[in-house]
Amino acid sequence: MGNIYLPYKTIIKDIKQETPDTKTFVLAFKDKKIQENFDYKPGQFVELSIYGAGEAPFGISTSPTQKGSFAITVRAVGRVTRALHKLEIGNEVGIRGPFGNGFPYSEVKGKDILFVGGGIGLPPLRSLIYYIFDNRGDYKNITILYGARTPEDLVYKDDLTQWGKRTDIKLMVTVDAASKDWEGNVGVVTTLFEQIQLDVPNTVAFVCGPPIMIKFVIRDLLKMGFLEENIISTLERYMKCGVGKCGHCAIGHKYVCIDGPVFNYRQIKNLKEEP
Amino acid sequence: MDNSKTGEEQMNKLIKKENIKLWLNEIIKKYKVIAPYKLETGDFGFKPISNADEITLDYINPVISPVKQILFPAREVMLHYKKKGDSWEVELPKETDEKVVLFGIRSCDLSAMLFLDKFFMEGFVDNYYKSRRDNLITVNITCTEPADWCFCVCADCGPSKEEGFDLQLTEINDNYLVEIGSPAGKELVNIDYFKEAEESNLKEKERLVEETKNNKFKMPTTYFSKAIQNITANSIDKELWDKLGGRCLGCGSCSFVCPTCSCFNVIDEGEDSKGKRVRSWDSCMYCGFTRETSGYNPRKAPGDRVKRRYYHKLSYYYLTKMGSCGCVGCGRCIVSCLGGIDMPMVVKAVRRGKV
Repeated sequence: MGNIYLPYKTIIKDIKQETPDTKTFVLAFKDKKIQENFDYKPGQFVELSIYGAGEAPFGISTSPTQKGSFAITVRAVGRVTRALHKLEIGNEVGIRGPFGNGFPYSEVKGKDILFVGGGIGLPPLRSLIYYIFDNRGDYKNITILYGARTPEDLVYKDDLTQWGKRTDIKLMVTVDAASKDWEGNVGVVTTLFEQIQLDVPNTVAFVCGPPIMIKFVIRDLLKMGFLEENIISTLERYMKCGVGKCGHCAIGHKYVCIDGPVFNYRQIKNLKEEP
Repeated sequence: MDNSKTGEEQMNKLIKKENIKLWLNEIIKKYKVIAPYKLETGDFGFKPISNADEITLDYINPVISPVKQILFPAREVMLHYKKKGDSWEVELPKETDEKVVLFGIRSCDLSAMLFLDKFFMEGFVDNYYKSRRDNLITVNITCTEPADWCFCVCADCGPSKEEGFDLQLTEINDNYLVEIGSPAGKELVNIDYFKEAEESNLKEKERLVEETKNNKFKMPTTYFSKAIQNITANSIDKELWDKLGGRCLGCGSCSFVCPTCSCFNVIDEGEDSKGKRVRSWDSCMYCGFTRETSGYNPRKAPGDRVKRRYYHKLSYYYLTKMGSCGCVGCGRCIVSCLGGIDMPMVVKAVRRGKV
């Protein structure tokens, strides 16, 4: 077995500016064999290296059903992310992974699926959304609710336009504060709950976003009658190794990197430490 | 090394005390030997030795565990990187296949090694740890004179080990009883200075261990069980953790001296086009340990960090995962913590629910 800390050479194939501070990077391993064998589950993450700046974990935002490349969506906030934002198409980065448990996409077959995303929380959900699109027959009603602070902060605007045209899913987008030319919903993402009908006992909710949003979304879902096990979210922590060794991402007796990042609300509640 | 029992009955030998150094010099011919020695300052340490005269087996545990120092050093290079045109050349540090005999460690440190083995080599295998561990043979000694701060009996990690050793020495009158625990250990005794041990030697060892357990320990008993219960149930008031946290200086020494603590940080060092990725010991008692780029810190209060540390050491979840609690009773935290928040003190506090 190879060294678990050794990154593999990966080329930036495409870059897309999503918001003023957020870009999507399409990546492919330099070694075609490695790329072909790179299999992952929606909800898993990779460790990205920019030598000199360091290494950081990012959720994969593409579906494993799309072969040949994968993507991450990154906001420039820290040392590694700012260094990544300076790179161009054709540049090389290091990748280790995939790591983490991923979403329970097989277990929720035959169910209605509700996605609730906030801001930069949409990328990991996007992986599962496209996985479900590519296996649409396995799942029943799909509802996607997405909110951001302003229209400018919405990621994947092209995707959102396309998803909005699909008749086999329901998409609703909202912003906390509208600009002049915004014609959509205004208000936090939980306000969209009033406008949708859900078959709660047969629905599994996937929730990703900032902690404050997750808190209120879960509160409302519980009020609607969702079982704790049917509310699935991802946790984030400062993380180094990604393989359960460095100790940084531990919460209670769980490690976000190997036991997560995907947890259901019952698990989150039992963590013995503030999630 | 393979710690499984060799399967043979009566794998015990006897060596005269006066022959110990002759034997060690034989080992030095074939292996790199790391052993305890006395510094000029009067302290003790472990170092590679070239002659048995350099060592002393009558020593007090150095503040840094020799096991941790060797298998999980305070700082190590994980990889070297160099920019070459448009690409990065990445090289792993060279692995050595030199066999190392770690001679004269105590049962607490051997217990810590078995704990670290499980942590670093199960699930995702840490290559750096494993490559050194694969080449390490240990010779531990039964403690008959524990230090003032020792409580290995409470942690069930000493003063002698029942399994998990390559070779275990116990001083009995003019001899050392040598228990063989693995083929690698057997390999070391394969020379003339040994004779077969007898049943009576083993009986004498058992008597000595019992006597040590019953009469020699100066630390009051550390009652882990109630502490494990309270910590697992999360039934300890935040106020108590905050009180304990108030005594923490955030120096991280508890983590560094603890032989089972294994958290690390990773950083890239060097110039833009050339450098190395380095890992170094980290501590969950540091404020920055969980601080995220956004500034958000889930464990901002010192009390939360003390809680975290002891949750990791003593909660039932970790206990079942690791097979033992994260304490071997070596007492190093007692010696090191300036705030006095060491294992026995915290165990006492969480048992009673007050400081």
